[in-house]
Amino acid sequence: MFIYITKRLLWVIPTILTVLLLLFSLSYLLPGDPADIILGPRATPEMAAELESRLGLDNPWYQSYLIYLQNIIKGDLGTSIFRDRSVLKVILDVLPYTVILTLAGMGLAVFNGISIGLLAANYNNSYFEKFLTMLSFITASTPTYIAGVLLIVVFSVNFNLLPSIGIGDGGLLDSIHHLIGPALALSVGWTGYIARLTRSSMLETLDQEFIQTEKSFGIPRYYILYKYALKKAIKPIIAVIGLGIGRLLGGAVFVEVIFNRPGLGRLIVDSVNERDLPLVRGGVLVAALLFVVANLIADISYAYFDPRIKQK
Amino acid sequence: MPDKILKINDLAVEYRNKGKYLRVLQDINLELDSGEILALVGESGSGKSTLGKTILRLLPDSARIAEGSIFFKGKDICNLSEKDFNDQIRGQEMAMVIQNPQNALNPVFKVGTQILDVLYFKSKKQKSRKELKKEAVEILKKVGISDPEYRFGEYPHQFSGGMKQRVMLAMAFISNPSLLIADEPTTALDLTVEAQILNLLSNLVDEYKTSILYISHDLGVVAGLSDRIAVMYAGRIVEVAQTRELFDHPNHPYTEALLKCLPDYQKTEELQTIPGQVPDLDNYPPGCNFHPRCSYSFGRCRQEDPRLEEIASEHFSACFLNDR
Repeated sequence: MFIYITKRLLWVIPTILTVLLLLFSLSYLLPGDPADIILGPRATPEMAAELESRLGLDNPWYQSYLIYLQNIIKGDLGTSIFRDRSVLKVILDVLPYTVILTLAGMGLAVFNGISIGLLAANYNNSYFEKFLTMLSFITASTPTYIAGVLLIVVFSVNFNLLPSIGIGDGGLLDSIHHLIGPALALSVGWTGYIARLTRSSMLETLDQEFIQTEKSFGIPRYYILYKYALKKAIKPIIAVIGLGIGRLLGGAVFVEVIFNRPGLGRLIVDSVNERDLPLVRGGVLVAALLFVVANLIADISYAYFDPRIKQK
Repeated sequence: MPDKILKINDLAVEYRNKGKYLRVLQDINLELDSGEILALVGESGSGKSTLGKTILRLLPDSARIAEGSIFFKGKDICNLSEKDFNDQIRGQEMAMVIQNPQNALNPVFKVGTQILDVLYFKSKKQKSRKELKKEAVEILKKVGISDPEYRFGEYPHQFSGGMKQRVMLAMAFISNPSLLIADEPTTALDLTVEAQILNLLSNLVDEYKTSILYISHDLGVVAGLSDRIAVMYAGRIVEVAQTRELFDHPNHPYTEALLKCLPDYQKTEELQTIPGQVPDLDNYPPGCNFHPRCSYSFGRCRQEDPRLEEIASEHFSACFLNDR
């Protein structure tokens, strides 16, 4: 078990290094000269050269990469060009909102998806199951931005139940109240997907011989379903949750824009539009780190659900 | 007359397939005395496992009992509700051991957890799992698992095939059932392990006085174990007799052919096989199901269904040759 976790942890290092290299090469691949963008059309060549040396753009690329790595290890992600503040601070300001939104969205998707999937597996081949299947397909194929707008139209405009924009006044209840709509919008697509996956994984498991054995020894149906079958069936769902966190970060951009919430997704989109390179790099790096951490947790939790992994 | 533990009358089972019902079992009549080991023998596809699962209600939803009844200890168990059946029969009066031990235990739960749950529901949730652990360890010791306390906390993949089958037997006998349905419990095992498991099984039967319906395709295994043998072919029982009697005086041509398929190391002649194969469910021939493969078949075999008739004391066979 210890070796398994260590191995997973060590794999994080090359992953992050690759991400860093890609982010670093952005400055060479992006069209437009940073100095031009920052200084505007009236800059003299001397001003541009001065800025380039201040930003370290005149060094050879490998030297710049090493400096970039050094700075990151020190926790220095550079300074935002337009905000004139430390990138790390800018990101840390909005990060909690995105993390909470993503976790809430995923939590809703997992809870609703697994519930619907379990019901569908339990009532397989009935009209109820057909209804649930339809529901799963509808939710799975609804894009986040449509779900978000629909939620606002129905619950904010028509019924006046949920706030349509913002994050609230900072109080806990108000924050949760403001979170319901965005989290629901974010969860919709994954709910259907997880429901489908749960249903098929459960049906496959229920078809196995050990389920028959358990049945023949007099273990009640609900117990077989929720204890014995679910734990065996949940592995593919965990894998998808790990990947899903990363995808939800992408989906969070729409939700953050539609519901006018601060967040990492929105920050990255804004910084790309502004060509704020240090901020783009920093934002994507943090997003990549979140993605890696989510997958790491998923991998480690595998070992709990499948004891055979512990030995590998 | 000794009391019958199981009595099956004119049972027929059907599967739904594309809107049609296909008969997989027909005219099954079978009795089992208490403490008796009855072997159910036949090729794959003959319906022997289906019969075992029918008794324990383990068939998929697409199957139904079309005709007949199953009496267990004098009570018609076909009419029990699903809940009553689970509370009163499964794990209380009957249990089942299946063919492939690799698949018989849930891979993601500790062996001990799985045993304790069987005991817990056997006790109708009256005892705590802590109290039950002693019983569980005791029975693991009885089925020959060394260091049961330690093995208790291990997962199925840490057990060998034979060990898993021992655990299965422990779980089956833990509930002290009156009837055990053993569906080819040794087929997937090595010969030496098979012998050990069979040995263990007969010891357990002696100790617990359990009746067994032993499903197998291997007449060799069955010969040393069973009191009586029922031979199945294409969803019907074609012959039932005491083990000795069946080996000495096989009556039905199918039984005779099966016995000829048994390899005998003393004989040098080539091994015999039965030509053709078991007919498909949706394509049973008219008349006797075996007639296309039977070397004795004559006109009547193609038109009428033979029924089981007593041809000697306690020896039943379904063949028209006996009427000639």
